[in-house]
Amino acid sequence: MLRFLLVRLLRALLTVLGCATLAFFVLRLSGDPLVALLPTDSPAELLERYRVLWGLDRPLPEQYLRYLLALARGDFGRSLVDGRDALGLVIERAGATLQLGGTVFALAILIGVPAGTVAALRRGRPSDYLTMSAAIFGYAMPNFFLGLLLILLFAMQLRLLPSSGYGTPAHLVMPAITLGTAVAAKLARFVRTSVLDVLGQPYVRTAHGKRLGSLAVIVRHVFPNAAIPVITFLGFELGLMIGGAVVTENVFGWPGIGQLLVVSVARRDLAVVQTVVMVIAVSVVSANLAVDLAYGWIDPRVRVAGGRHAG
Amino acid sequence: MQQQPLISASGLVRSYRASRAGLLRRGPEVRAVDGVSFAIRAGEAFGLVGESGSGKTTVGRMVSATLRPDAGTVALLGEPFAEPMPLARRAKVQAVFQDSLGALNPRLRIGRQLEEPLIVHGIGAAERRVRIDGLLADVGLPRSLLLRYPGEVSGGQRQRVLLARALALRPDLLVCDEPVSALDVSVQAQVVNLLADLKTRHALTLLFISHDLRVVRHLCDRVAVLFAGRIVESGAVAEVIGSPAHPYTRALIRALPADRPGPRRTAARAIAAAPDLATQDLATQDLAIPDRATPDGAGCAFAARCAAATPTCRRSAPVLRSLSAGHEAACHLVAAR
Amino acid sequence: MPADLRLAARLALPARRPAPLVVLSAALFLGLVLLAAAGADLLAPHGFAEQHLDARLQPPWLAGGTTDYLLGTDTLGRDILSRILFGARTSILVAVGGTGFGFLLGTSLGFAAAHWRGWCEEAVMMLVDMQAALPTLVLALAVLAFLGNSLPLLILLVGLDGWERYARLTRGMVLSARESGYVLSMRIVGAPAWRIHLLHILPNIAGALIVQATLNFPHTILLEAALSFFGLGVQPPATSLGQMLGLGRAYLINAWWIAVFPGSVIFLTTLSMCLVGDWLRDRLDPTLAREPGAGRP
Repeated sequence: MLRFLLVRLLRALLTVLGCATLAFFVLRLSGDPLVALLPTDSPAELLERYRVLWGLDRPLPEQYLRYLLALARGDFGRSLVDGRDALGLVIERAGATLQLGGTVFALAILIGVPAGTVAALRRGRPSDYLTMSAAIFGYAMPNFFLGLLLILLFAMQLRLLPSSGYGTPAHLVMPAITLGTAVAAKLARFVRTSVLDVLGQPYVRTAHGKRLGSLAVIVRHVFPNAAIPVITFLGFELGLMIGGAVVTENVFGWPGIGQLLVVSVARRDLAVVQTVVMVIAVSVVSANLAVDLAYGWIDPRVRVAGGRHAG
Repeated sequence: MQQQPLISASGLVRSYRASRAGLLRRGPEVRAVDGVSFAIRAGEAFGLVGESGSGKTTVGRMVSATLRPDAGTVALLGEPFAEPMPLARRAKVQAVFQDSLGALNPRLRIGRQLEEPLIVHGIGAAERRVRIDGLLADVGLPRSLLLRYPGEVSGGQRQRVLLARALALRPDLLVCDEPVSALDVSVQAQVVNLLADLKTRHALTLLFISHDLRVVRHLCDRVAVLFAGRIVESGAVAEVIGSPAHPYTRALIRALPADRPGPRRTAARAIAAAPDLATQDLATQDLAIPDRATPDGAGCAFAARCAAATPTCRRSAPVLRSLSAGHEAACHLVAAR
Repeated sequence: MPADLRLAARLALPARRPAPLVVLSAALFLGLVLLAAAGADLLAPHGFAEQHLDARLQPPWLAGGTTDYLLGTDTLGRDILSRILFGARTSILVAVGGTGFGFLLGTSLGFAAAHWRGWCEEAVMMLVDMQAALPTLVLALAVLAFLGNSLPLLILLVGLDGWERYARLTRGMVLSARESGYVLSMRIVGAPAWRIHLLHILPNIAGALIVQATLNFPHTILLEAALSFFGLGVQPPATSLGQMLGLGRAYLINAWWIAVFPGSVIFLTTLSMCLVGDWLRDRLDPTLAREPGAGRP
């Protein structure tokens, strides 16, 4: 188990390092940030001064090494725009994103798990078709379009909710629905498959045979066993959810990491973009690692051949 | 005996890890094949008999150079036979496997699959057509089959297709691993007779692997009995079946039909006489397959199932000893008998 | 005997029961969208960049507009219907090109990982992990903003989405196919590895890969739309559905039609694709449904 843990940790670390490297080179090789940052008619000396100030005059490998060394010390660099600590800027925005993400996860689980379970238990009946139709609508719906429709309806026609901003629960409603619909829909579909799988297992049929009440069977046998794939699924969904959060935050002016990313990308704020990329990579990798470890703990067979690659 | 054997296996060993459980703890190693040696002369049909799990399939894979032995060598006419090797040499040994559906690609037409070995070996289109016609005639299949997919034809036909494909490269040695056990009894007989026929017609040398002593008796000149990855008895078919030395072989033969039929009996009757009695049933009748998790475990692997086992049998493993010309057995009790 | 013919035969093979009406209509809709996109030059009543400054912000015909502009016009007096036709063409081009690129990249790397086990496999799986850790949208945002913008680059970036799923799927299926009897038979014959992989294994796993592509396609469309929505995707004067949606966002109050019509077309297209993809998966490859994440669009 210890060796398994270490191997997994090393892999995770390498993955994050790879992402940092990729972001670093893509951003450096794709144009001069100073050109975008400074007024177009800036004198050459000024450009040169800033270049030296930010270390952009050094050869690329040296910049890279310096970047890695700084990272190792926990220094993520400073924003090219206002000179503030990049990590601090990102952490400042993390609260809003976590609030949105947490709400969405809770919403998705509260809607997706019961809907999927009911659909599986009522397989082939109208309630199954209805739930699954709703789910497929939910997950085919582009979140930016859903966001606009919600704004059109609730903010402009009914004037019930603020169309953008942050602070009160009312502000949270539309972003949470926009981002949560797709996640809940996917989760419902996935839960349905998992529960159907479990229902087909011999021990569940045995439990039914022993005349344990249906509800008791579901609570005692079906839920715990269906929970494993569901947790895995949510772990792997995190990456996609972050992509969705970037869109949602920008549609609703939600001051989270996603909005920071889009703004910084537009300003070519190297350090901040890199830090956002790192933070996202670390979150996704940690989530996957946690899922892997949990899985390996529950089911020792997974430890055999790198769980996720197997199959 | 004097001439150089066509193919010889010496000291073949192959282990599998039971399961790769954990990264710290390696799963127990199982020796599927544990020091198997034999030699087959040109034109001979050599049977390898054993129950499932005895390692006979692994031997077949190693002889056909599709599985590398952990130790030991396979030699074709005295030269090592192992990958990598030139195509022409590769063609000398071909094989037919038990699962005829798995051995054929479900997405390719049968014609294409027959043609594939010839294409790989750089034979021109016109020549390919002629050869395929010949092969179809050899195994008794109609041309119309060429356009079908493997799922659309019967098991017996598929087995003939496999035979045809294995013969396409005109091999010297044909390894047949349980070629008929998945077939209906009546079809089994047809395929076995076809095999006997092909063997004569093409001067084939056969390594015939089976759990079924009746088919081996019908088809083979010599036989080796494999138990727990080791050869426990070998010799001419008539001798091994006529006067078996090893208690395991004797148990196998006891399971055969009571009237000991002569070797000239037809396969159809031989097989139909006792459709249910084969070595596989013996395995379930007798005790479970011995635990081979401990390689080189002291004692004879058969001791746990042997009625006559003595303390010696449990202490040290017997080696093959010659009983008469060409007849060998590995049993402590044989000399005493 | 070309591979695509065999594949077509396979796709048409298990005719147990006809497709449900919903799937048929979805397929029909997809066909219509494809036709409309292909025939945009003939079908569009106006040019997609043609401005009618005297007819700005015209509502759709049924909402009080004229039959000249069935779906209304935008702030520059451009005909929404015409722009949707041309925009759909761009969107579909990007999505098809991207899916093709991701498919090729993912399956080749998957084959490579299965064939050269060891360091090559490790490297590919590392890349797979990296791709999974960096949402494509984030990566594409950064690259497009810094590297500038061109249609080929957009297609490549959109194609990156999902390649890791093809790679994982391919590797797994190739590894299990290599244990099969038909591959063993080809090895005994002496067939070279490339021949075994391309001519023998590929036809067997193509069905599952195509299903995966079908399920991934809506996601690719959405990605292009999201990027164009941010103004980083397809650049004017060219147009795409996502770009129209992004432009219409500012005029939601007084001209809802600018955003709602292209948005609906995106939604209906992805919905149809999901329906067809689900049906194909259930039909061709029931095992795929069990894999976590395999079915997500």
